[in-house]
Amino acid sequence: MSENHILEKIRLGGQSELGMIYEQYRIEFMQWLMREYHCSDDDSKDIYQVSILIFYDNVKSGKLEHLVSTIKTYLFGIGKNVAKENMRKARKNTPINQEKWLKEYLIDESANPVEDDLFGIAKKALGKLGHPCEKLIELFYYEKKSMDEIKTLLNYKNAETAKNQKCKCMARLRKLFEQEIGKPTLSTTLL
Amino acid sequence: MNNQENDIELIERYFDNELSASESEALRQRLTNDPDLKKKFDQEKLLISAIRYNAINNNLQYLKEVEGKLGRVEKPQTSGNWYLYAAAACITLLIVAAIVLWPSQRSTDDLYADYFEPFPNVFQPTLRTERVADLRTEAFGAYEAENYDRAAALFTQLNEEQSDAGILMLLGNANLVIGKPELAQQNFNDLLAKYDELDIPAKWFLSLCHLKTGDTDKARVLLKDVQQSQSPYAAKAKALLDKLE
Repeated sequence: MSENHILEKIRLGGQSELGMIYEQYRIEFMQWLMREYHCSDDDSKDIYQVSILIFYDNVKSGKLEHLVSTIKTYLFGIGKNVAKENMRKARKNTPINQEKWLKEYLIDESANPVEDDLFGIAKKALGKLGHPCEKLIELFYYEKKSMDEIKTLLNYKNAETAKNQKCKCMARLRKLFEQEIGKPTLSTTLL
Repeated sequence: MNNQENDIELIERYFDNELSASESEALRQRLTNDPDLKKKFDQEKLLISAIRYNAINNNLQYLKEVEGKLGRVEKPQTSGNWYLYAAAACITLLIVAAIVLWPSQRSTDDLYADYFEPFPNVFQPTLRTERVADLRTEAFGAYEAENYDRAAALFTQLNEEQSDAGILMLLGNANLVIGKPELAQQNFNDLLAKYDELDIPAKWFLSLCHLKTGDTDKARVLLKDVQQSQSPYAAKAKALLDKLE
């Protein structure tokens, strides 16, 4: 299977393809981090997981459509940047903060940085959304699946029904978010 | 449908890439002077960010589960800095080569032939395991004996077992000698992506790969990088760039 076919498989697939690619380069990547950047066992794992998720996101979002080199070269290139940036930002022996990294790398905050409080409220609202809405909007906004693919994956009658359902789910999420925002915080309750 | 619902639908279509270029531009214009619309727009963006973050986090937890089922990765033994000696020897060789090169207008293939000199084997490899040690000795031996076909095959195998910057450097050189510039290109790209050492020599040889394949634009970009470096390769790169111009 050519490297571009593997990319296509990842693009069309889900977590099992993510796991497959994770296992494929795991030992070589982690040993390379330990050797080149003197990373501990745990840091190597953390950096590798962040790198794999950035790679996966680039494939899914269409940033990486065709390789000019190999998956391995591309992946190690990401790893090199993450390791170097982490060394630059963090003090020595500070473990990598994966959640912070993923938020910085994969969530577009460049134009308008997301406030932590509001982001927390949005996450809370999302937690209340339930199935199948949560899965549907994840497939659409993260996995970048088409409505046709979503129709098949979630057993909708047709793509139009899937699209209508997605709009209803987003409307529900907006409402939940507004309800959460309207709730008094602990500090205002105590006043 | 009231105006508020219209606005939300418009924003949703914007984030779903369903608006035409002119509709997107009109929305962006409105955002600059309609604070209410801007608030809705930012809220939608925040919610989509939360959806993406949630999914990424689920995948991170999934990878942690996968990791938990796999065995511990052994710490690699450190290798010696033999490639630094190799780099020094190469630089010396290049300086010597510079003396005998002539400045005339030549084809890219001729220029490649003028400037390409295989990296010398001045290695004293650190032994790891018996098997790997044998492979190393054999690979370096083949390279030194100028048996580049065999060296390329052995270095390819060695690279899979215990890659390092020096192995990639010699593998790329062997592939160049046996007329496989595309493979050599991949080796030097790997070297640049994975290691901090030998960046400038790797760029130098990568530029030669591009010369060999006739891609002078890419060769120029790399040569300009090399030219700006504080390395003995800079003068070589400048001379080659001049000839390319």
